[in-house]
Amino acid sequence: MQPFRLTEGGLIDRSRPLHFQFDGRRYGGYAGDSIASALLANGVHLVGRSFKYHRPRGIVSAGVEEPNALFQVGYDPKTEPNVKGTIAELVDGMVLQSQNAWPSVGFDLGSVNQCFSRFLPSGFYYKTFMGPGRGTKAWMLYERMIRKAAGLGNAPTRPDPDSYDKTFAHTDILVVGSGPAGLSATLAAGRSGARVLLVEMDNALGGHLLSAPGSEIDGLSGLVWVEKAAAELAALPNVTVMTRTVCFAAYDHNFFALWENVSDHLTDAERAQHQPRHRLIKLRTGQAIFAAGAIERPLIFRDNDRPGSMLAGAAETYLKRYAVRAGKRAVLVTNNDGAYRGALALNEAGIEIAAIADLRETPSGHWTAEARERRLPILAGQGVFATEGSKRVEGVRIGKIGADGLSLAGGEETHACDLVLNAGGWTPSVHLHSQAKGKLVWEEEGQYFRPGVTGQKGQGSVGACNGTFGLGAILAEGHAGGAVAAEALGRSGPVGAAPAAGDESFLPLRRLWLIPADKPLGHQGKHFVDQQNDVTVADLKLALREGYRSIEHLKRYTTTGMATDQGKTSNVNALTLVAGTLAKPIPEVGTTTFRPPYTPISFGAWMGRDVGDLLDPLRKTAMDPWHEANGAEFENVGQWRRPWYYPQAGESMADAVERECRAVRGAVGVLDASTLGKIDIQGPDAAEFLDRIYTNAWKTLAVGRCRYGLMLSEDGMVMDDGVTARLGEQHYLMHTTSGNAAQVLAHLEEYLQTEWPDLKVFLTSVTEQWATAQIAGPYARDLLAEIAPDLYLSTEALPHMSVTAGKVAGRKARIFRVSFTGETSFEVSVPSSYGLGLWEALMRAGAKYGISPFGTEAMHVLRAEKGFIIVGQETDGSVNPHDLGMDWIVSKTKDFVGRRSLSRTDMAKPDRKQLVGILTKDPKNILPEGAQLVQKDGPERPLPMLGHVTSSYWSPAAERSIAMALIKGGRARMGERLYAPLEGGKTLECEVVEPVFYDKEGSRLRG
Amino acid sequence: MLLIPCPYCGPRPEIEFGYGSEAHLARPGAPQEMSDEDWAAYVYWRKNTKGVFHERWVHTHGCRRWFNVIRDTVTYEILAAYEQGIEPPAVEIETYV
Amino acid sequence: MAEFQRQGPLDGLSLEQRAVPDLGEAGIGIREIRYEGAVNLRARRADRPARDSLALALGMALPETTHSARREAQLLLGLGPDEWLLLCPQAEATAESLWEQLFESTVAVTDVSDNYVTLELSGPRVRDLLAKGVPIDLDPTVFLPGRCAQTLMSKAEVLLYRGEDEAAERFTLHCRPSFAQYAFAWLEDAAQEYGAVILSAEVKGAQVSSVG
Repeated sequence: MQPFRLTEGGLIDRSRPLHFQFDGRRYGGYAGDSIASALLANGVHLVGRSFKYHRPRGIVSAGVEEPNALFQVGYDPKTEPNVKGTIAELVDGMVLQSQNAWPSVGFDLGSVNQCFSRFLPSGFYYKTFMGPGRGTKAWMLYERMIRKAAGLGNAPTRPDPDSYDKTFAHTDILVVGSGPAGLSATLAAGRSGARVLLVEMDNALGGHLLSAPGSEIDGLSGLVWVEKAAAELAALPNVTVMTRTVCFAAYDHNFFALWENVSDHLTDAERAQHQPRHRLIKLRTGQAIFAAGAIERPLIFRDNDRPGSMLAGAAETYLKRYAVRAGKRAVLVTNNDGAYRGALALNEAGIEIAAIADLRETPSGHWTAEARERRLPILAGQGVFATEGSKRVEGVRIGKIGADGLSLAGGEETHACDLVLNAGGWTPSVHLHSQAKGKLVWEEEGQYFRPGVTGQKGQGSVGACNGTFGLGAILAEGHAGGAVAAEALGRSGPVGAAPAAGDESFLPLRRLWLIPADKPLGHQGKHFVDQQNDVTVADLKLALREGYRSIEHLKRYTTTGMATDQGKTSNVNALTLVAGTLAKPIPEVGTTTFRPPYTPISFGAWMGRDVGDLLDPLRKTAMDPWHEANGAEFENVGQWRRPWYYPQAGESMADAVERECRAVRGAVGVLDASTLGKIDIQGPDAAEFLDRIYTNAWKTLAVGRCRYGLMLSEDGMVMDDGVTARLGEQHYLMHTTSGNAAQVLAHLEEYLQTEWPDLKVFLTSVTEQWATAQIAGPYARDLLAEIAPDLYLSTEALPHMSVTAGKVAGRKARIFRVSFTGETSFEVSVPSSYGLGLWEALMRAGAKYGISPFGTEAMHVLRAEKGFIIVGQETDGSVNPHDLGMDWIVSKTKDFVGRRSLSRTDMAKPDRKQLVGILTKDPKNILPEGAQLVQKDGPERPLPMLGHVTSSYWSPAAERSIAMALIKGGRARMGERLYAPLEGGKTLECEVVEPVFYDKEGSRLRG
Repeated sequence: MLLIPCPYCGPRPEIEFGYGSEAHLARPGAPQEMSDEDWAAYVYWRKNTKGVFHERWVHTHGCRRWFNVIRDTVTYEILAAYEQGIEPPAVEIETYV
Repeated sequence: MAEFQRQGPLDGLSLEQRAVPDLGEAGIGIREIRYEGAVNLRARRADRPARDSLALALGMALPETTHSARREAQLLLGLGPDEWLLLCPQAEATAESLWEQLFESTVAVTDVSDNYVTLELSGPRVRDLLAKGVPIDLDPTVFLPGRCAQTLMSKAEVLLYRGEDEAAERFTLHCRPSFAQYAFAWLEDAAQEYGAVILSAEVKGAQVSSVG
């Protein structure tokens, strides 16, 4: 039983009845209903409480502009707040909850806020909770309470079980909106042969024609024409039509963001398996045609927010599209001719029209004339200045409006009614045009902004969103827009003739929106400008009295035009009020900036499938399956996952790392070094290129030898380091740090291509061509000899810092004799598909030598014992080679990238932070990395900070803790005592030492 | 998101590219002979043009080639894209105040 | 010494056990191409003689960027104005032979066979699938048969190639081995709504190392 449903008509499917719950009560609706139309069919107008004052609120609109009818849908975690009931389709079994009401929408404790409303003026939060002496912490506390009292619905508390999708898309011509303008444009564009995408946010094509099916086009009734157009488009293979898809953002170069509601209109049972809930579409188009329509503008009168007060066009939509009567007895208040059409339709459907209060002194126009003919009670020059009732309109007060529009001129009467139809003209939806930086032009006659010059090439607006309101003109403009877009793309196919129709617009109109009442503003009720944010005319005037002038400031101070509707029904009224109060022309006041999104978009769609394991690639080496199978703990280095350490049963991390270090120092260890960046460098000028890139000299490096290199940015700071080997006369292989591989290649390519294009050098990334095992320790040579019996591995044949090629485990390999651990060490590279085989072979053959795999942590400890730096740990982009004590590697005779910067006087200042070793007085204390070091221990504060600890470990070789630090003037402080004040008040005493803690002579790595 | 005409791969979306700031700045041939001020100007100072601007881009996730673009920094319109090492093509210069 | 098996980054996924003989009703088919050889080739744009020598040694004209050329089992992709990728059997021998023929030219020849993992994607929804992560226009009238593109697929760099058979709408996708698990997981996830099957791998190179 739906008492307000007509027995026939509308676009609902009466053969598919649906059931839903609202605030615990069960109701019925039909397929094709929106949430709002179904509630209205059941006589429910009171759907929520307002944001600030908790006033009862009803359904205002039938579209995306809705400020009030927001619902909490579903149960946690499949719940969503702020669902717009006016556009959300009714789904069988839907569970809806009103928002902002406790304990219930009918009896809401928060409504006591109304009694205190004079204490809640514009800027209330700023004035009361922020400011001197209150501070951020206090605001955060208050904010939580305010949000609880005021907020808009509840977010789910558990992860979203639904899946979402994102996709790129491309087309030649995008048409936004499928009303008469959009359809006409799509027909013309589609016939030309161009690729056309038509997007419609509604579930059906037709736009305004769905609400006004009586309109006649090409001799057909509007909806029949829509069906015919849709059929023609469906037959064109070059045209794609998407419904339930909103184009919500315009970006540069005709890039648009679209949001497709894939399955919100389906029950769980109806959804296909793996069907996403929403899809974000990132679209590039050659041409864009905006046919987004217009939004009706409300008039403002006292207590204009009472449930039962509705936009006139919305009531017409509910009637014609959904076969729902929004009331039994209606009063229309209008300043224009267009709204009479709705009144006529309602009257025809048996709704009594108690009065038409027309603000115009002499009502005229097409629809006005028809209303006169039908003897509807027109009250010329009169307006509704207040509503009466509590949770539903019970009547309105109508009075004669003075010629100045600022006061009543007597004749006040009360009219009983349960529905107020509110009509203040139409506002073109210029959002996309404006987001794309198009200019706006103020239209004096219709009192709205319409698109002016477009911000980007290949864009145009047609129909109501362009300020064109007669149906015939809309169709013609749409058709021309489609033809122009096709022509711009060189498509010359015949576009056919423009559809024809009558040409009535909503004009003429009286320029009056704030209807004067019998009492001053703010007395005996409120005049709402923005219902979603509870902003009144009085709030705006207060802000102006307080000195706010810029429309952008007024928006933020009063909150007009914010939140989920973004002021679609309030912005122009606010603007008109501001301009009127300041006595400025409206274009001078301007509009607030239109920003994406046009309407709220789900977070899920933004993320698409970039969640969980797909959030970011986790790069794995060829040997990774072994690490995983053997219980490695991993750490992420950039996107790589690397074995951190390999704990054995019962071992702590410290135990495992110590054991791995001892294996390397005492027997043999193996490290997966595959992640090191590898750049293949070929060409006759390769040595010259390396000379210019690295700080040291390269032309003297013999074939078969390796050299350590330091690379600077042009600002003289250390950027990367690594070993480069000369493989042939004109062939080098550069190693970079794992995290910097892509950045270093980009740096090299930039200089090669843009500064030295004359150098004959080719760079190829071979990082992943090779898998690398680093074998280190006293038995490294013996182990390698077992799996590479053909190789000469003696120090004479393959000395420290040399390279050779040969067969390892039967596979062509490169063997680098280099060391980062301070032990005899070989890095063996094989093509990566053989990497796992190589690793397994090493582990098998190494068992008798007591081999242990070691991870990045042990590697860090071993290199720190030797005082080797790690770029990114000892350096941070502000550290130069002198600071690291690495003058030995900086050539004084050749130019290289960064050299000139290095010779700036600042770079050699003695008080720069320099790398030193640090030993704690108590060898058992391990400094935390990042700890600050100061000169003195003592209670005085502040203590000047000298620098910080960059690396700190327990050293098994030194049998004590060791650390490195960057300290102001550090090298002159050898032997000095410094202090590290730690969290919790403890201070550690330390000594500055040389940053080498093991085998200072380097005899082990050469052996 | 810009649509950038790579001279080699054709028009591609901005996410494939890296930005390289002002174009046509040659690295000085003899840096050691320059004053600190002149060197700092080369390393750090770049134009911030309102209007038609010659700038460098690199097709990072495509062909990895550097090239130059003439772009209006007000409208973001790309007026030309051309290879490294050649003279910029003539374009109509829009001026802004 | 025992021989050892080559391993790919997708081997842990047991794809062969899941493989079906043909696409059937599925919207997407994913097939791994194993151990195809790849040789990266470079010759400077301005170096006419080097380019001519390279073309002569290959027996193919050098294609422009994003275009391709084929000679029997060898496919040459234009990666950039001075860079090509030769996909071929026996990459090691091919690279060595090219080195020998081109030793007097200023070119670079690099065996990068293990630098890529290759997947072949087919099926009626293959372009819809790719569009979810690939930002370039894959419309059949825009991305023509025989074209290639270095681009992105979601967060992985890929080299995409559309097979010459216009009707088949077959794409091959090359990515770095360390990204292969990510790329595969992404494809499988994105293909779910179209129905995806794994097709039996095509093995183009030696599966086992020479015995040492």
